[in-house]
Amino acid sequence: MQNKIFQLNNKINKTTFIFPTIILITFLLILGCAGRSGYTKLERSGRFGGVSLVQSDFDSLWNSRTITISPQQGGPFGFPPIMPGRGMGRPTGGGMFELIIRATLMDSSLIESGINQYAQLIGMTPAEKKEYQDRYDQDHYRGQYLYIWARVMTPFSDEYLNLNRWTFFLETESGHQLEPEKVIEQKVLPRMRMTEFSTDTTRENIPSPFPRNRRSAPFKIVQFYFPLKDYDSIPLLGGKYNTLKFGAVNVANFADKAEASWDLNQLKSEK
Amino acid sequence: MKLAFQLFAFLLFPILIFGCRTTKITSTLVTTPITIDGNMADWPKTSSVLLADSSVTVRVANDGMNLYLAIETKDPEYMLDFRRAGITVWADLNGGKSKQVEMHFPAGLFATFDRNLGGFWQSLTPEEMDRASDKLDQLTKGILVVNQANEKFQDFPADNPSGFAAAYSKSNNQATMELRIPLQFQENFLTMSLTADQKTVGIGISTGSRFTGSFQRPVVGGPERGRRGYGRRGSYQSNSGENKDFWLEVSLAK
Repeated sequence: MQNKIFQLNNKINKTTFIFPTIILITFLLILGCAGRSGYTKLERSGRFGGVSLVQSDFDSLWNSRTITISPQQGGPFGFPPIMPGRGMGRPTGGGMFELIIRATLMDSSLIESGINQYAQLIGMTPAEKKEYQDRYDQDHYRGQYLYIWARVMTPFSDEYLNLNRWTFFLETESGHQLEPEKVIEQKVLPRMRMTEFSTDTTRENIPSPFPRNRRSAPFKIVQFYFPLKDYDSIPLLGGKYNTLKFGAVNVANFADKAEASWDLNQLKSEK
Repeated sequence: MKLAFQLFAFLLFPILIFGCRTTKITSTLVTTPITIDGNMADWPKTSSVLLADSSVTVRVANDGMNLYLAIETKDPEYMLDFRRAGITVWADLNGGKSKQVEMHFPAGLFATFDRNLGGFWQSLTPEEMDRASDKLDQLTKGILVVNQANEKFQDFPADNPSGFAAAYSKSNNQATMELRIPLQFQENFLTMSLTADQKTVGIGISTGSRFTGSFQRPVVGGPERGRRGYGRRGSYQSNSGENKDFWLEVSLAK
């Protein structure tokens, strides 16, 4: 009987000490080894971004000077909002708006940066760079007009890209509305991938304003040349204005209108 | 009691076998720099490690100035990944698993350049356009190095004579990626150096070209890139549907 009790005690002691020891060692091994097995485990990388092949300040300047004008959530198409680089575009007339416009204000900082980018890319000599700068200034009427470069896209028919359907305008804080004096448009380019057009929305995890089954849409590149000054001879840039509005309105239906604005003070600080 | 030991052995054995399999490798010291050309003929006899269920073989060498990495595979899926998505490599000279220094090869699979923006391209002369095209082609085939800490990056030609370089070759149903990673590097966008007492380097390898960390620089894109092959947007899905990241703990030969 006593022997049996001893055996039982011995068994209990072994159970009490050995099992926790086994569990402890196992736990330590898991922490010490399996934890380090991260060296071989599969890891999922982050979302794909994409960079310009040329490192410069151009990208950031470009993005800060680019606004998006588009249909908005709750609008006629029920599209969710699209966030612009700087200003927020919205339809203002309560009607339909069939375009998405990515408009870039080509101010002197951005132009200088673009010139520098190409000059660095191919290693231009100072003389080559000066000639390139002069050609660019001449091609884009620098000093004569305010230049806005835009990509105009529609998720609908190509016909909406006919610029005769639209009046594009700049509007100052004092309410002056100016139309472009020159408009240079490229032919409609076949398709543009949605992800490329709505880069900002993808970055900020904001849903695209397009139906999910639409992966691309027709677009065209348009260069707008506006007067440098308003009707009171106040410069649109570098003057007293803090913001500048850019928009488009359907000539057949003034309710079909959308606009967005640049924060000029912010752009000045980013030079 | 016997059962307890059986249980112990049962638990311990797989942990020892699988849990402790940290992929460690000792690099081989080379006295003459290895030429980065995708040809393994100038590599010394080195130890290697097998990754991805033995589908990928990795060899590492160093010459005091650079770390040389050779990644070889005969697996059709990985060969396809190499060709279609390139590789992403991270180098942590502190021996950890930091993804701060990120390399992508070839750069053209994920880098972009939009010739439409602002009308800058159109104001180049035809001769300048040719030069710019050549340069962009060169950069497209090169290696892109990203510093995730400051979101700066730089492209290097694949055959860069010093510093970062990479090469790809395929022969006899085997694909080889060869990379050179400097152990001392100082430029505006990135400074990294191996301290004298540092004995290990962490190297991460992914067969998918994807950006990590905070560096998600968007570039307003145009169709030119896609048609001319200057970029890829959107994430690449490999055949297996998963990204394949592996980490090595490299003991440097001194």
